[in-house]
Amino acid sequence: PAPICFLGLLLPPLNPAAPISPAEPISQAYSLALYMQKNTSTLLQTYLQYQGSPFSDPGFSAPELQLSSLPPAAVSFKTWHALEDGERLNRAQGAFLALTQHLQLVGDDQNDLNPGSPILLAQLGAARLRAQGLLGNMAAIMAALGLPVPPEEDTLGVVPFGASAFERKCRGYVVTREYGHWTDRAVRDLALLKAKYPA
Amino acid sequence: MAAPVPWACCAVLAAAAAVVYTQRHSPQEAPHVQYERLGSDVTLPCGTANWDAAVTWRVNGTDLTPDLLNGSQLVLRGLELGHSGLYACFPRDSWHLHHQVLLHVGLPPREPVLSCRSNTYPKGFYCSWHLPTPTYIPNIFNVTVLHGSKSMVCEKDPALKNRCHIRYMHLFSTIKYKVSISVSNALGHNATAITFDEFTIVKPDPPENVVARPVPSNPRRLEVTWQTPSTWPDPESFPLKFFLRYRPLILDQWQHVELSDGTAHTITDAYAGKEYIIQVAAKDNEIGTWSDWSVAAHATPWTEEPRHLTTEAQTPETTTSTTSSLAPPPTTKICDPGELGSGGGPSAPFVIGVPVILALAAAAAPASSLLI
Repeated sequence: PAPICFLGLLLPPLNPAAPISPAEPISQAYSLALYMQKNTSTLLQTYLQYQGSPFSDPGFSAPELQLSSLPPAAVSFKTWHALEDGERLNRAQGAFLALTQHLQLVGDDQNDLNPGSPILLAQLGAARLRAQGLLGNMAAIMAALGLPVPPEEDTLGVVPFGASAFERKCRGYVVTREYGHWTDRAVRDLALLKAKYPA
Repeated sequence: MAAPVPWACCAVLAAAAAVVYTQRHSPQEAPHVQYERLGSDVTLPCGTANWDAAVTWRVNGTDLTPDLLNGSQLVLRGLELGHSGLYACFPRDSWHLHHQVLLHVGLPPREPVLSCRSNTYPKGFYCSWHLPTPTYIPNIFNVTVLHGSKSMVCEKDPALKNRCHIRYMHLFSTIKYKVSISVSNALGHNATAITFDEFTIVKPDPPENVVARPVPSNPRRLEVTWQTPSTWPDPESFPLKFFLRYRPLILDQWQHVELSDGTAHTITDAYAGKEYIIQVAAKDNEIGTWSDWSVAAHATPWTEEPRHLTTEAQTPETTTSTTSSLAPPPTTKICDPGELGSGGGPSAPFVIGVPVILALAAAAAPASSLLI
């Protein structure tokens, strides 16, 4: 029931000429990001458990593993701090758009690799819905700030169909891990915007 | 008899001159520095002297008893800290210093205790270390910091010699930090390392300038204000939340309030007229741990000024007045419930005191012991 509540936050396209206070959509996005943040480590842990060794080994961590199609959340403090509102939101939007598409792919992969795991599939589905909800909120913020909303693009590109089970498991690990890190970053980005545009 | 005296006199003068000559012309060798382990045994040879040469040993200018000697060597068993000192050996019956040893008794280092903390997130963090037990001799520490495979500089603290500072490079990084420290002295070596994510070591400094003030005309309120710690570099981008605790001095139990924003709060359930102690702690909104408690603020809620007694203004005693004096009953008798409703009379003042105390106790649910 909870993800469905947040889908209601997808606002209809607004007239860019009408000045709206961005405080409201920022506050909503911030609340959603905080809510998402509470579940991100559970998602990663659940995912790893279902993949078997070495992913399910205690303390498993492979920080150097990255996907070229997913922008990394890690950024230098100076760069992060100096971002303009538009650029800041653009980067977050790009990341969550990529995450929704990648979570779809991971969901499909896991349906194949771990068919009898409703908990994992439900968590992946919920994460994707929440990421979509956050995208909607961010679009509303950009409209309120009079900024153009970037068009939805295909972030996955060509997906190799012959990927092995191990490659697919690795892919899912990077996606669920980066989902957590981008959520942490979104909380910070939105907190900064919240302070900048108080109600 | 006159003859031997001048001869002896000359001999003494000659000997004195010889000593002065040798002391001036033979170079004083710098003492040999030696470190030995507490509790161990050590044998100090008298430089290059024969093993059975006749020598005198001294420590810090005091002669040592000959029973400690094995030939010309000094044997010390079960070294204690008090054995540290400057040991010198002299050929017997001579002032000519043959050999000196500066002995330091100590211990090899135990595993150092290392901890890191960020009170300036996201600008950086610092690491502090110490040895759990003293070594009593000089130690050298070496700290290395790795972020993944990249080595980072840990700048020495200008004031504290067991602390160094690292500046952050990345936010939201998945890669852990590994801080290693090695310690060595003349008797041994030890090391330890810790690994952590940048956000787990975040702990702000306590809030500053905590001030509590009474609120005029409000006997149960106290207004508390504070400031974010000055070491926190960017409270706008990295907001802090606060935890306030307060209690009257006379009670042990704290009341707690968690505040997600703002640097002020009004306590509305203070006991009238009681002095309060108030403290605040801070935490980053998302990560890390709570700071230590701030310096305590003290305040007492506003109380009404006591009315001055003047001869004209004295009101007659009635059962409804709460400020009437408590005159003792004329006879000591067991308080009969039937008498309570009678009103007036000498027993009335005794009853009046009770409602006031009951009101206070009812308002303060957990602390029924407030009958002072």
